[in-house]
This record gives sequence, structure tokens and C-alpha cells, in this order.
Amino acid sequence: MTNVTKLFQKLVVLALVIIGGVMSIQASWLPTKAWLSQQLINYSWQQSITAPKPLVAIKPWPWADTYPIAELIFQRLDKSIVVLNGGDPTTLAFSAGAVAPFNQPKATNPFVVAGHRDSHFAFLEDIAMKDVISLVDGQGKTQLYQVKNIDIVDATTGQLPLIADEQTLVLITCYPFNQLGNDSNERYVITAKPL
Amino acid sequence: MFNSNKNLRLIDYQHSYFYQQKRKKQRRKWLKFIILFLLVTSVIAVIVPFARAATFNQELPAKMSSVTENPLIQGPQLLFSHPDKRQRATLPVDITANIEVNGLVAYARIKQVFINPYNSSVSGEYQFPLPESSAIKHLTIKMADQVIIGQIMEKQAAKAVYQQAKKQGKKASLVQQQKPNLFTNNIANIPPLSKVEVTLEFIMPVNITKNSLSESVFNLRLPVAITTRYQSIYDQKTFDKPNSEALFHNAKEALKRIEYNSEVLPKAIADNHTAISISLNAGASIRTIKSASHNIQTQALDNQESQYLITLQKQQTTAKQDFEISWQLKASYEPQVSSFTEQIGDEYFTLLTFFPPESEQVSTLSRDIIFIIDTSGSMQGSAIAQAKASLQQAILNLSSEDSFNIIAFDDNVSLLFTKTQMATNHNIAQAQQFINHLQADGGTEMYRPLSQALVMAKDQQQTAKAIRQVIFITDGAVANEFELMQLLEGAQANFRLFTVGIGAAPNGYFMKKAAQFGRGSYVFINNSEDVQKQMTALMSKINHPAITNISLIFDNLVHQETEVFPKKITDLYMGEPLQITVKSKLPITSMQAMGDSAQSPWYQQVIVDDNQSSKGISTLWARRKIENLLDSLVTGADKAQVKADVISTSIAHQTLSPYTSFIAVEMPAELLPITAKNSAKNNAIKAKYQMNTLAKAHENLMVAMPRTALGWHQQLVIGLILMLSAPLLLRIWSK
Repeated sequence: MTNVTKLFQKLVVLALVIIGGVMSIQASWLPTKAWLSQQLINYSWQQSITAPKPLVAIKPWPWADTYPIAELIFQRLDKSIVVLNGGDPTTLAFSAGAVAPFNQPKATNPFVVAGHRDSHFAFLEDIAMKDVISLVDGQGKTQLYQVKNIDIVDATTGQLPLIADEQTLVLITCYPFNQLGNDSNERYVITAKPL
Repeated sequence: MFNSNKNLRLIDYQHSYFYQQKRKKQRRKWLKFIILFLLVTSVIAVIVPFARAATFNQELPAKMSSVTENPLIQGPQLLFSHPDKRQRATLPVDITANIEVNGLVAYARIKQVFINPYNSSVSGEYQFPLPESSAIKHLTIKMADQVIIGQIMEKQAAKAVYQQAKKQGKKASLVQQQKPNLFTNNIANIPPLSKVEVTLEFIMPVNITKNSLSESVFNLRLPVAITTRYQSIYDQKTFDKPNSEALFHNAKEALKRIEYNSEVLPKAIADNHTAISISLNAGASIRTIKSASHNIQTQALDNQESQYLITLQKQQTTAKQDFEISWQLKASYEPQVSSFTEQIGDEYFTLLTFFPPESEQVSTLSRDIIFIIDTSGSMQGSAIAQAKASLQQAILNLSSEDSFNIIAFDDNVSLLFTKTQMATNHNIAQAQQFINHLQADGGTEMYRPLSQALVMAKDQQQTAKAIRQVIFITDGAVANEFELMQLLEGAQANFRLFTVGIGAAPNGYFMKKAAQFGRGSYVFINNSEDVQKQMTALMSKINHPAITNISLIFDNLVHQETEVFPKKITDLYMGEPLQITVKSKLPITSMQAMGDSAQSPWYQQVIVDDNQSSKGISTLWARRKIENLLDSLVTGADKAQVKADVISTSIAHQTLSPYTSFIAVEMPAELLPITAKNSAKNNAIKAKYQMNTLAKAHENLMVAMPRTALGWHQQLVIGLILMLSAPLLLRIWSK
């Protein structure tokens, strides 16, 4: 074997290790970021429910473009998540996000929350019918909801029809849960009605 | 000889064929191992999610079946609660549709007759797929001994009625819309071998599709049929395939038996009939009328060829397809204004429809355009890329007559120029560079850029007549919507605001309302492939306003109390007719419409023909009135007062609002005479009678579904495979 081929082989192996390493680190950075940001978001949420009213948006970090607006607690699954304002990709990378125009928990409107199936909303897979979800709003009030519907809908149009004048809690994530990749044409939609 | 041979063998031992093979085999073994490893990992990666999905399906069989059941509803039908699934659906044996089209509003009255073919009394559910953005006005279900009447009531009243029915021990059921625009209503105790007659009245808009920039086609679609899809879905699943032929046969047989007993039933409903009659008043001369679905007969009703009576040709009367009709207007070089009136009580409602000219050669107005682009953190990723692409596209569409400027904002505002500049090559190149350097980061402070755009100075070379157009590209993620609306509402300057929604989940409500307050329009770009198309369409549309600054002038002495909606009249664009509704105490016989066209001021005397009453106009007015009342909440109107006004308007005009619901009340047949007008008074009387069915129609909205997968699993698996393959390669090569 010549020196040239040996050098070539070494380079190839090195390149593979570096590319693979970078990809793995980058991939694991996404869930790490999601987890780290949760700590900051939880802190800002605790601050904002104890803050004097009227409520001022308390951002989890100074340059954030969003703020926590509610908290969802899933008692049976022993999970809870703070919901941020907005359904854009940046917000969803940090936590579950409330999608405009249904981004305020009110008695006359649905409240629509979207989250990633492979980070914050991964546990939605374990949600069953009649599960109770409690929603804490910015005033610190708690409203209980019960799961009434679980649908798998086609999302090629990107639009979900909703009854706009009823108090419901709608949770959206991608479906199927354990599929690889990030382009899914189906959504898992959980609808819960107030108790 | 023999020895030397032996020697040779010893020397060349390592290179012998046998060992060469052995080493090759060893190498192959490694190769095989690597390939196997790679295969297994990739197979696992692919199979695991599928396997999970499969077990999931088995866990929830009931849910899946309900998912597949829903798309069956394509035409009006009555679902009996029959134990045999195949026997449930029944289709109307007779459909009569009367449709009145006035300009761009269609008022439909559809009467359907269903037959209960069974020898026992059953309960059923009536389903009707309403056309898109239609509003239900009235419902009557007639049976042998009961009548169900649906109307709009205040939510509290509807609840009280419902509670009372429950207290009386009746089987009260609150039926909701399962899918948007699917109207459903429960009917209990349908007597054996009897007839159910359902009359449904609703109002729907005429759809407009553009053939070219100025030519448009008007069309209307009625879901009065069993479409082919209805059967094909059943065909796939043979086990519960309903024998629709047999069903029809059953129904017909039953009908024959009924006919034996009574001679009242007309012979006409012996088969599955559809009778459609449309009185079309387009408001301007019609060039062609076509139906892609049915053979139709047309009959002109006036000299201008603007009114037609359309019926089905005799040889084709079975309902196998949705009914579709489309028409085109005669080309005109002048804008046309048509008028329709309706009298409700002692109030008069007038609808003005402005049709833009249909001509290719249009002189363009020069414009003073300001682009505002949102570069806040929520725009990160594909949204900012789309926004930049659409802005680049828009800049290329500017003509040398136009002046422009760009404002980019997050929590800071950065300007391209301090005032608007003419669209010279130099300035455009500068703008392109400016756009390329934009990056999404930081917060969203919309108030400052918007207020700056409204008062920014014009280039001195630009003419005074040039219109200020503001194009706002954003995802609308704002917390202070109300403040922005107040800013737009209170703005003194003459400007038009167009909003362009970007990204997976733009705040549609904000965009729509902002455009309305700014007398402009809105467009959503969901898909990055559509950026160029949609942006060019918007730019060429706002490039050719046919008439701007439209105003109406009434005789002020006679008409002191007129209410005009929309309050802020938008401009008239090519291929987009405009509707204005007016309420007055006295019938309006004439008015003056004024505005500016590209070359000269525009003026037209509108003579209103009040001999003919057109249906649906008060509804259109009431819808806009309610919308306006709700918008006034934004600018600080009294909540209780607004609520009271909305409820009274909603009930008087039978138009759905957030404070009212559509409910169906059952009552004995002798207490029939209830019309939309006096229904409010009769509510108290009605509550005394037997009620056991309640239906509720809801306002529906679409909400965007964002992409909700990070996809980091896939990347991690690929990364790990790459890292693992490195030592394996080393191993092979070192052998």
C-alpha cells in the first residue's frame, strides 16, 4: 500500500468521524436546547403568575420574542408544560406554543396549543380519552378540561377547522409519533372540553 | 524435478491461490458484517415507527372507524338509527331548489322529501353540507304529527329553552356541527312509512375566479346530490357497503304503499327528482351562462340581458352530481354599478354592486409605496426567507412612475431612505442590498414603523395624486393588536394598507382587520413556492385600481338616517367587484357615486329600481353591521351596549353572531305561523310547548397547523451511523 492511499484512508475516516460527530451534536442540541429553555421559561412563568396585575409580559430571556401565557398540567401522566405565545418555529423550538388567534385562554374561545412530537409534546402519545388536563392562565386561575376527542387529521392544507365560539382546549402535534424526519402530513389533534 | 517443484511451493506458499481465497473470504466477511449492520440499523429505524403506528391502530379501532365515516357526507341525507349499518342512510326522493341571485349574493331555499321505508317508527339525523361561507337562515322539518322550526335566538334564551325541555322530562338533545359547515339536526319518532319534508333556507356568496387580470367568472355550487365519492368510499370497504340501489327501491316501494292509502301525494315524487330554478339577476349584461354539471335551460327576463331564469332540462332530472353554474359578464370599458333593494318591516335595504371595467388596456396610477417588513425573532427560519423573497419580488414589480421606501423592524426600526424615493435603477439596487442584509432577531414593536409609514414624506418628484400604499409583510405575532387598530382607525392621512401573511401560523385575524381598517386587502402565503405568484398578483392588482376614493351622496333632506357598510369603502380593483349595503328609513330611488379613475374624476348617477324586492340583502347588511359593532369594541365602545345591539340586529335579521345561536324547536303542527320577523316575540309562547330537539350552529374558523416535528432522531441516527462506520473502514483497510 502506498503512502498516498494510506493518507487518503486516514482523511476519509477523519472526515466521517467529524461529520458524524457534528451531526450527532447538532441533533442532540435541539432537545438539549428545548430542555434548557424550559428551566428559564418555568422561572419566568413563576414570576409572571406572582407578578402584580395588570399583567406585563415577562420574557424568559431578554432577547426573546415570546412570553409564557399559560401552563398545562397532565396529572395522570405527571407532566406539566408552560405554553408560550405564538405558533412560529422559533417559539415551538423552546416550548409548546399557543397559535394565534386562539392564543388567549378565554371562556368564549378555543385555546389552541401546538408542540413538537419529538420534544415537548412527545407525551401526548400516552394521552387517553377522558384524561383530565388542568390549564393555569396568567391570572393564576385553574380550569379543568377533559379529553373528548382524539383525531388524526390530514395537514396538507395546513389548516384546521375549529368551532370558534366555544371554550375548548385543542392540542396539536405531528403524527405518527415515532416517525423519523420532520415532514409529516398528519397531525394528532386532541380536543378537550371544560369540566 | 520433483525437489525443485517442492521448493517453489514453499517459496510461493503465501501467494498461493488457496490463501488468497482465504484472505479474500475474511475481508468479505467483514464487508458482509458492515453491510448487515448498516442494513439492520436502517431497517430498525424504518420499521419501529411503523410497528408502533400499527399497534396504535389496533388500540383505537373505534376512533379510526369514526374517522373514515365522516367523509361520506357529500349530499343532504337522513341517517336512521337502524341497527343494520347498511340500512342507515337514506337519500331524498325529491329535491326542489329555488335560488335567487342578486349580484354577488345568492339566497337558496331547498326543499327535500325523505321517506321512512320501514314498518316501524325510527329516529334519525338530518345532515346537510352547507356551501362554504354560507349562513343558515331558516329550517323547517315537517312530519305527520310534528314540526321542527329552527331560528336564531339569544344564547341565554336558547339555553333556557333547552333547560326547560330537559326539566319536562323530554329527551332534549343539543346537536352540534360535527364538521365545519355540516348542518345536522336530530329528528325523533319518524312514523313508519311516512314522509319527512325538510326546508332549509340559507344565504351564500357567489364565487369569483379570475381568468385574467380583468376578466372574471362568477360561479355557484349547490351540494344537492349524491356524488360519486359517496359510493366509492363504500366500495373500498365491501363489508358495510350500503346497497344504494336497494335503498332507493325500498323508498320507492314504501312510497307506492303510501300512495295507495292517500291520493294527496303528488305523482311527481315517485322517482329521485331534482327541480332547480334559479332567478339570476347579475346586475349587468350577461355574456354566457354555463353549467358543467347539468343540462340547463335559460330564459332572458329583461332587455338588458342581465336577468335570466334558469331551469333544468327535462331529460336530466336525477340528482347524481353537485349542481354548478357559472356566468360571465359582457365586457365593459366603464365601471358599472347595479342596485338591489329589500324591504323588511319599515326599513329599506339597498345593495350596490360595483363591477370593474373588463378591458385589457388600463392606464396605471402612480403610487407611493412603503414596504414594512417584520424581522422579529418569530420570523426566523423559512418565514424570513419567504418575506425577503416576496419583498424582492415586489421591488422588481415597481415601475419608474412609482416611489418607494422600505421599513424593517424588530424592536428597533431601520429605514432604507428617510423619505420615499423614485424607483430608479440605482435606488432599486440599493434596496436589494438592504433586503439581503435583513436578519430575523429581537422583539416585535409594530406601532412605530406603522405610524412612521403613515406620515412619511413623499419624494418631491412624485405627483400629488399618487396614492400612499403600505404593504405590511409580517406573521402578525403581536400582543398589542388593539393599539395598532386604534392607530389605523384614527389615521387622518389618505392611505391603503395591504397585509401579507407569512409563515406557518400567521395571525389571520390581525391581518384581516388591519387591512379592513386600512381600506386594503390581505393575502396569506403559506407555501414558499407561491411567493412569486401571489406577490406578483398582489402587486399587479394594486397597480390598477379602477376607481379610488369612492364616496356615495344621498339626498340629505330625505335620507337623514342612512347606515352604510362598509364604513370605509375600499377602492375598486380589476376583477374584484365591490359591494356596499345601505339601510334607510325611506326607499332610496337615486344616489350619486363618485370617485377618481386613472385619468379623470368618475361620477355615476345610480337609479334604484325598487319595484323588485330581492332576498338576502338585509342579511348582508346585518352581517356587516354586527362585524362593525364588534370592531367598535376595539376602539373602546361600551361592552353591554354593543352586546345588546348585536343581539337585536342578529335576531331581527336572523344572522348568527357570537351572542346568539341557531336552535331548532319542536312544536305541534297547528302552531305553525312563525316568520323570521315576529319570531322574537313568539319565543315566550313557544317555550310553553313541547320541545325536544335543539340544534345549534356555530361560527367556524380555520386555524393554522404549524409543523410540529424537530426531526432530530433522524439526524442523530445518521450521525451515529457515520461515526460507527469510521472504525469499521479502518478495520477493513488495515487487513
